[in-house]
Amino acid sequence: MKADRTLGRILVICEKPRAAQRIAEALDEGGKPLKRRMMGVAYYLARRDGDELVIVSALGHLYTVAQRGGRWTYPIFDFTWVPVHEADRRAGKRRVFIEAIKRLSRDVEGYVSACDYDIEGSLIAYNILRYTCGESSLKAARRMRFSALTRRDILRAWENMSGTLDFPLIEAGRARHEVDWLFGINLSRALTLSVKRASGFYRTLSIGRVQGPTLSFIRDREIEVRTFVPRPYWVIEAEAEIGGRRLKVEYAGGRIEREAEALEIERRCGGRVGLLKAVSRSRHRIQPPTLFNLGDLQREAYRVFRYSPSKTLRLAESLYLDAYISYPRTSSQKLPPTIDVREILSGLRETAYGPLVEELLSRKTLRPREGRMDDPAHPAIHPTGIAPKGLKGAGARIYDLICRRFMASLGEEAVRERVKAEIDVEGHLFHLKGGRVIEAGWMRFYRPYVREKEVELPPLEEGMPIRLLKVEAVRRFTKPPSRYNQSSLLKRMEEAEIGTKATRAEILDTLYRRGYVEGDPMRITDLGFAIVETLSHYCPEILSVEMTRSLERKLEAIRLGEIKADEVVEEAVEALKPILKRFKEREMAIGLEINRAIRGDIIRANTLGNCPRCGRELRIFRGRESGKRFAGCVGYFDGSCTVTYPLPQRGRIEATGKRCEVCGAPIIRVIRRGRRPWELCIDPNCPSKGVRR
Amino acid sequence: MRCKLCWRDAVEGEDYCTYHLEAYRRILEAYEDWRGAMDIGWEEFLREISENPATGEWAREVALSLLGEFRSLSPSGSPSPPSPRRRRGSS
Repeated sequence: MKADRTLGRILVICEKPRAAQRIAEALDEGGKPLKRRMMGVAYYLARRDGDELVIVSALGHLYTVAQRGGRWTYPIFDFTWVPVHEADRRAGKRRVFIEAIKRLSRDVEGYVSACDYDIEGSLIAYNILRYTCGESSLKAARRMRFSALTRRDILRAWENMSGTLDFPLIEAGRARHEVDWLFGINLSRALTLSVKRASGFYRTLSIGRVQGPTLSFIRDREIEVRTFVPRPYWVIEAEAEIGGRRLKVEYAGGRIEREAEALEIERRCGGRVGLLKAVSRSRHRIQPPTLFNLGDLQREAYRVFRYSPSKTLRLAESLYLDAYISYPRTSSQKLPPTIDVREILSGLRETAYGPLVEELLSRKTLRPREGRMDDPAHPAIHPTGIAPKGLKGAGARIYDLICRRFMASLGEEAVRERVKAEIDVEGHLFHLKGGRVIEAGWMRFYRPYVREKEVELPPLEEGMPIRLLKVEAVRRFTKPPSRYNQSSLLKRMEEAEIGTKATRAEILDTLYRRGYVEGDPMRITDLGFAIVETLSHYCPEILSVEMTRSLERKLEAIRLGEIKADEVVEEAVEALKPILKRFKEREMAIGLEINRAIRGDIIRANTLGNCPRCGRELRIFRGRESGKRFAGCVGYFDGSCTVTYPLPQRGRIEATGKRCEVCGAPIIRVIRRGRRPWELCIDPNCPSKGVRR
Repeated sequence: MRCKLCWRDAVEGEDYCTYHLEAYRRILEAYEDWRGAMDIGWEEFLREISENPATGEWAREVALSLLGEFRSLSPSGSPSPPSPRRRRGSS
């Protein structure tokens, strides 16, 4: 924005307080904006090109979709946008932000949306302008677009801001929120009310258009695992003596399906001397890894640190707000040529990456290896070149991962040499394999996170005799498919094109919070099963990937300006009507089915093992008068068994499935916040406790 | 009618719910493969899979139930697995 436009007083709306401070510092000509407060909400006054800038932040979304009047029932198709604090009592803090922005917007001549450049950011600013500053502000509003919060990026965005708001993006965001709300509110209420009607108890249940298919993936995999029956096969485990070393050799025939055949090979080859028939050496080039998009980063952080996708996203967003990395909610694996790689690397010279950075900077050309995926709004995740100060713990680990990946993507190919020798023993071939990295290339930059197995072989010559020291036919079994973990499920969602890069991690968290899945790898609970079964019975569309994917594509078409948001919302309403009608007709049956699963889950969670006296179940009960919990045999109440044990009164108690080796009573696990979980024999008089003391 | 092994409803005309029935079907399929791979009888096969940690929990529940049935009904041992219909008639 140039000085000759003299707009006077301009309101700049940012998404979060930390972003507002960064933007204010970058835009103020002196680099020292004045910090003020309005009703406790910090805002900044800055001067630029003769304009006075009032830079204020939101707190994420300040407006949301809500039911217009009426009761807590379904179907609900009448909705409106309201301040978040009106729909959610816990969001009271947002009220003062709305009030502060309203006051600051008085006497303002221009507006700038400086929220994150994506659907959510565009919608946040749009709603604030429309509902807080008034409809007329929309015409006077402009949009800044940036992918990092560095001074350079912010100034470039200010200079090149668009003349209007990005309405296609806003429309896509509005439609996404409205469609998600329509599905979420109606189906969740339908589930919750069916259980309430059938059992009289209230239990929050939810399902949505992305949650449904995701839970369905987990259910399908769980069925595969739980009904799996292993098949036997045999492998020949053999060791050879070469140059005084014992080395493992592989039977070239691989898996053997029949026991008799395996035993015959064992009999014929055991203790025999074979001949080294051929030695082949080959070199393989291993390309550098591609730059991270959000999904890649979340999967890699899960692989190396076991961080959940939502934790990684949270940490990456914090690094972005500190301007250490670029905007993380991106699908792109590409870096446009406008991003100066040398400048970024130069900024990292004084950090621990100094020697690696110098090595890269000494090269003539620097081009990162890019992936196939692109994002029109943002580049791949990369460090900004601002050296981090005081970064510790998990944040530092994620930063290190991003930095090293960025440097590795600029590295040259690695070369690995593979050696394969063929040993002929009584007409049967065995392979001796080795491998080592001979040119580390990009691996030097990504070292702590590289998975490479080195096996160096002794000198080998064709025709040399080799004695097999051990030949054994070993029975193995086929394995069931792996349960999903958070990383593999995220990938499955990406492949199915359901959800967005920004929402997938949150959906996984919701599945845990609702009690539909537990553990990692993820196991579906009885409740999760019941939800999927019920929906597949009465409204299979909700579990269908096709319906969700088709909606996602329509939302994308809105963003591209190909269709109108209202058409898509109307379609969603029409799709929901018959589903909810069917649900209502069978409400009681559905409620009974789900309630049975809820009770099953509760009983299982309260069962600690078997009674050491009568073998029936030991469960957690509460004393009628004291209210204290204790473990008792299920025979306690009918007087057939009197076994009871006191339990710790604080923390969560879980069954471990183990029995005490000393007294045979169940071992339980106690989990208390802030403490390491510990396991103990449930019997306070167990002699093992005396021994420990 | 309830499934013999869990709280779910049994499939019409069967002892098991849809999941345990699927596990049963897989056990029968697997038995053919086991017999092709080695010399093994029905009882030993059931014992093997019920003790194998890779066996899924529903398949294990069915295997243990079949093993119990097999031991109580045919102490001398029958060489082939009964069909679901025959099992139901006999229980």
